[in-house]
Amino acid sequence: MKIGRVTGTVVSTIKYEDYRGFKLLKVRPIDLEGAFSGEEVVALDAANAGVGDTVLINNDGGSAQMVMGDKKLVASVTICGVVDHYTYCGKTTFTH
Amino acid sequence: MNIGRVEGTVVCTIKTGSLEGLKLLVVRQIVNGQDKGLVIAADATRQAGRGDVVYMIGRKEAALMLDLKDPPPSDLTIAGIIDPETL
Repeated sequence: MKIGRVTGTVVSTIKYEDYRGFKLLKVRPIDLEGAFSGEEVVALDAANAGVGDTVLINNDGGSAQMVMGDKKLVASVTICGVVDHYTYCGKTTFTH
Repeated sequence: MNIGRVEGTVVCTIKTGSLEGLKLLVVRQIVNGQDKGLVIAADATRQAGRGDVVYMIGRKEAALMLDLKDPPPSDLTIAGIIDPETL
């Protein structure tokens, strides 16, 4: 898992049938100093996140099935939590 | 899932059985707003065309998205098209 920041929403009328009803968000990983690192990806949202939120990103198909509660779902990146704060090197960072 | 823009099609007469009937597209990958080169992706929506901005799924899920029971050999599959007016 990584932490990332939601950078935008994805509106998609034509999509893989099983994604109907799911919320898709653009999310980009951040390092623990809060700077962007890595590639922006499109993720399925399971945590009711919004633009600007710091979130927990999971990049695994099996986990996606568990998070969404659908054993036949085909997905890779899911947002499975909204981060309140984290502590690293004795420094606590509040995200909102 | 990564984002890209469809730039062309691939026509392939001789191919392995389970790839039969699939639409293959040439996609320019866009990572963090920058061009990251061309890739070939199968189209699970069957509706993507030139100029469309799409998101693609990779690894094992690329094959499963096309067919759960008989997954064709795809390592990158278009999962959906981003509505152009929302870009």
